[in-house]
Order: sequence, then structure tokens, then C-alpha cells
Amino acid sequence: MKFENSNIDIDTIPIIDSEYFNPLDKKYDSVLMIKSILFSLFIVVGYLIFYYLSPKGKISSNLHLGIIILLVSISIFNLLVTHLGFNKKKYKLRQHDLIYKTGLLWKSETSIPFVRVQHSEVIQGPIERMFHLAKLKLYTAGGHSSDLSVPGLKPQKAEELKDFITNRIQEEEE
Amino acid sequence: MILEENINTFNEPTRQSYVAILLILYKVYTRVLKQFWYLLVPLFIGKRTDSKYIIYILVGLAILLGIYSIIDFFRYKFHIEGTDLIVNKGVFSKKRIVIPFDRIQSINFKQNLIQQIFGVVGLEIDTAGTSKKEFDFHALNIKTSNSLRDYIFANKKLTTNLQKETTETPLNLEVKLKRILSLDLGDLVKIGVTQNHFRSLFVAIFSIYWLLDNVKKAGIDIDKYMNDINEENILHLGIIILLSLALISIIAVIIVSIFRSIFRYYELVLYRIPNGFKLEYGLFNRNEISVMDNKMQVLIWSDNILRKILKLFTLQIKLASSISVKQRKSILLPGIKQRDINKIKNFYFPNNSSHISKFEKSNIYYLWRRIGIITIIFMLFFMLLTLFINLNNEIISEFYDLYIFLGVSYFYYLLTSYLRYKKMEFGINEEVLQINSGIFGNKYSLFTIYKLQGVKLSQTPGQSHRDIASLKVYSSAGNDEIKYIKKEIAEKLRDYILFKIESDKREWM
Repeated sequence: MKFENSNIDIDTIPIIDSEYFNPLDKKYDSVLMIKSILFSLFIVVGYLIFYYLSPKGKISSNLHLGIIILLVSISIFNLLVTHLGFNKKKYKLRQHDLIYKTGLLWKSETSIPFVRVQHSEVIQGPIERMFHLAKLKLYTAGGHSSDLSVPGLKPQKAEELKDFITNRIQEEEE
Repeated sequence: MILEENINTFNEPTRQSYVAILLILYKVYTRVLKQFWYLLVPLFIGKRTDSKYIIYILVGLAILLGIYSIIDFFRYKFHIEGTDLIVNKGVFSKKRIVIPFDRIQSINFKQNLIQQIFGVVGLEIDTAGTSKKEFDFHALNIKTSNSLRDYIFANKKLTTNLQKETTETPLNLEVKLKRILSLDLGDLVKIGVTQNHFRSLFVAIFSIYWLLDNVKKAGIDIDKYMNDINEENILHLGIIILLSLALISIIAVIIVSIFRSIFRYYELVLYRIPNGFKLEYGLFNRNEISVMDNKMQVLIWSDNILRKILKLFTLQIKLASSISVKQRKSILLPGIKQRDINKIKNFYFPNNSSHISKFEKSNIYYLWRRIGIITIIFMLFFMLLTLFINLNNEIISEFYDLYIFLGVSYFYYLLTSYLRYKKMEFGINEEVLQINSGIFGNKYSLFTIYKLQGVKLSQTPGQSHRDIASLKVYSSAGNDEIKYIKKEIAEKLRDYILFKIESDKREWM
């Protein structure tokens, strides 16, 4: 194999445009909402338990009420942001890489080239399983923070994607 | 031919040097002692009638462990089959480990005192993809380990098609060692003196404070003693005591650093070996590390305020690490000059291909945002402190030093933010991406673009508003971020990096 290092015209480099991004399965919105509600419930119930266990009279009940109202309103706000954020979660498959875009306020766009994928897997959490959804995860040697997950895929689609990527990796290696 | 001999040697399953028994015993005993030392405590406390039996049990256990170690030694054999290194081991169950040469990242030699006395070396073979060390040779004689390493590296090179050099490289690798740089005693003293002393100094000052406090508690009233002295002299004396204590602690800290750097990096020599580097260093624990060129992912060189004056840098050659192993996957060269860095850079990037002609600065919004956040945090502190004083009806003048402390730290953070912003820049050419940073010192990180693992473009709400973005690059030897640049530029960079990774067919490790 001979390595060449010819000059590259910067305009000929393929760019990632905002078109052809695929949305996630609509049902994944529900999964996200349920997860958000469960998390809120966990916090609020936790606080209520703390309230009943703590000695009466030390903290005024108005303060308790205030905190609970605050927690509930944060939860509702969180639910709203989650719902609006769902539409921002998109992925794009190109010939050589996979791109995942997310974030309503704090946006991010991660790209992983197939030649650097160590291995990939399809994961299903309990809530995802109820909605017949799966998550595709790509692992690289860049550590946990560079692993890429695309959630909210139909299980069949996730498997197809995984096979496609595995094939691409093998082709690249040849 | 020498190599011919070696091939024959490694074809046969070979044991380690007999010194290994001693080292295995030492290792096993210290490990057991470290975990079960508390079992020995009853032996020393009080007179117990059953202590005799405890001793019997202990001696029995020690003998059993000894037998175990000896069996372990005799069962541990290695040889080479084709381009695989094979180790057979196991006391109770037999294990056979096969490591293809291609998976070997580096071969490191270590010598502790026992190994130095007997003229053997310990060998560690690091492989990609596993978290724990699969090979741990305790003692091989130096000649065997050298030829083993050279054989592996020579054949590794043949299997990973690395250009035309194979025909030019003589097979006897010992001769080809080329000294790149070495540190003498003077260099080591310089390294020790210019260590970042702030932390040690902080510890020293804290201990003095603690000491004085305890002296007071012990009944020696320094204040009273001070009062006895002529009033004019009080301030004078206080300053003298403080200054001399500070001076003593600074000198002590520096001396300790000098000794540490001498012990650690004594006779550090970096050699060029075919397709790699070899590093030797250490006084009591002599280390030898070899790395192949293609394992290099990132080069980082940095200085601090003191080293800037002497124009000295610390260079880190960061290697590909497997997912779970984070530590110790790099070579560290302290106290080297810009000239040496350029020399090493040129081995990795020949024909000056790592030269970057233009560096870009980050957007000023980074600085404003940081100042804004710091100001808000300190205002909150200030308000809380004032509120606390008022609520508890305390006298405000008693808290003046706290206010002063808050003010000083606020300005310190402003200063560091400004310095940080001033030093943030990046540069790119076809082959490399360099990210510079630092506060008082400088840090330069040089990434080989095609070896990167992925990129992430991100925007905070404030950044979106101003069309600014940050670009994070992931490598298998650590991540870095180009902060606050025009979104358009960030996208172009991302597209180029992806293009380079996908189109460059060279092996990334």
C-alpha cells in the first residue's frame, strides 16, 4: 500500500449539510417522557419521605410546600424541554460515518467514522422494550465520551444499521 | 548470525532466569502481608498461650506460598510460534495465552534493586484491548530480553507493511541504536528546581501554621512572649520569623524536588530504534520503555513559569490506550529543549509536515462569558457573607480579612481567565492539528489528524446566538477541545477531519 499526500482542494471535501437527517421513531418521544416523569416522581417521592421522617416543627411547613412546588414546576419544565428536544434528536448515515445530532438549547453533533469503530451493539432497555424500540451503540478507542448512541430505532432497523456498519468496517479494512 | 540463533532459542518453550523465583516469592509475600498484616497483630499484643500455634500456622502458610511460587515459576514458559508470542502458565489449571506481535503496543523493561544485583530485567508487554497486563516476566537475563524485544519488533514490522525500509535495516538491531538525547546531573537539578512548587509550598505553609497553632495550645504563649519584647520590634520580629520560615520551607521543598528528579530520571537516555524510540531512566529502579512510531497518537509539550525562563519543556508522547486502561500509556521526557522537541517531531512527521504557519485565536465571547460567571459567583459569596454577618449581629470589622480574601481571589480568577484566553489558539495543516493552552505556562498538544477517533461539534445557547461553536476531538490517547470559534470554521474543520480519517489508509495504531 502506497501512501500519497497530494494537495487537496478544500472545496472538494464532502461537507455535512443539514439535509437528509433522519428523525427518531415517534414512540421514542413517549419513552423519553416516561423516563422524565419517573425521574421526577423519584425525586418528589424521595423528598416526601424525607419530609415525613424529619422531626416536625424544625422546618416550617411553608418552606416544605415551597420546595415541593418548586420541584414539581422544575419537573414540568423538564418534561416540556424533553418533549421539545425530541424533535431535535436526529441521525444521519453517510457512506463512511454516522452522525448524531441532539439538543434544544445545548446543541451537539457527534460524528464517528466507521474505520474507527471498535465494535457496535444493539441495546434495549426495559421501557424501550415495552415500546418495541432499540438503541444502536458504536464504541471507539476514544473512551466513553466518544461512544455514539442512536436511540429510538425500530429493533429491525437498528440491526440493519449495525450490519451495514459492520460490513462497511470490513470493506474498509480490505 | 545472531538472529538465527534467537529464532531457535525462542522456538523452544523457555523458562525465566532462576532469579525469578526470588522475585516471585518476594512479590507473593509482600502482597499477602499487605492484605493480611492485621492477623499478625495479636502476636505482638499481650501474652497469649496460643501464639505458638499461630506461628506454626503462619510458617506453614509461608511454606505453602513458597511451594506455590516455585511451581508457578516452573510452569511459566514462553516461546514464539510464527508471529505469535505464546505463554503457558498456571499452577492449578493450565493456561495458554497467545499474543500476536501486531497487538503488542510496547515492551517495557524494569529493574529494581534485586534485579539490578542479579543482572536481570523485568519485562512488561502491553497489548491493545485488554485491561490487565497479560505478561509479567519477573526476571529474564538482559541478553535474552533484548533479543526477544528486537525479534518481536523486527517481525512486527514485516507483518505491518511499513514502506521500503525493511531491506535497508540490518537485522542486528543492537548496532542501530542512535542516541537522540540524554540528561546529565545538571539537567536533573534544573528539572528539580523548576518543578511546580506551589503545591508543596502550600503544604509547607499549612504545616507551619498548624505547628504554631499547636505550640500555642501546648501552653507556650507566643503572643505573650511577643508582648514582652519592645513594642517597636514586634512587627519587625514577626516579619523576620515569617520570612525565615518561608525561606526555609522553600529551600526544603526545592531540595526534595532535586533529589526526587535525580532518583527518578537519573541517566535518562532516549534512543532511536528502527521504527520507534527507546527510553532508559532511573537510579534505583531502572526503567526501559520502547514504543513503536505508529502507536503515537498525540505529542504534548508544556512548560511553567520557571521553566519558561530556562526554556525547558516536558514532552509527553501519548500512545494508543485500550478502553479501560487510562494510566501510564505515555512516555514522559522532562527538561528538554525546543531543539530536541523539533528533532522528535521530525521523526514522527518527516519533511517538516507538522509545521503550522498560522494560528487562530478563540472568540472574545469566551472571556466575557467566563468573567460574567465568575462575577456572579463572587457577588453571591459577597452577598451571603454580608447577609450572614447582619443576621448574626456580628461586627463587620472582624470579617475584613475574609472580604479581602474574596476580593483577592476574584481578581486572581479574572487574571487567570484573561491569561487562559490569551493562550487559547489552534492551528491546522494537512497532517496535524495543534491546540495551545495554558495559564501561567504553556501547553501545546499536537494531534495526528488521521489517527483521531471522532469529532463533536457543540453549542451553548449563548454560542448559538453568536454563531460560535466548540469542536471536541477524540483520540485514543485523550481528548481536547477547540473552544469558541466561528461555527462556519468549526464545521469546515469537522468536515476536513472526517475526510482525513476516512480517506487516509495508514494504520492508526
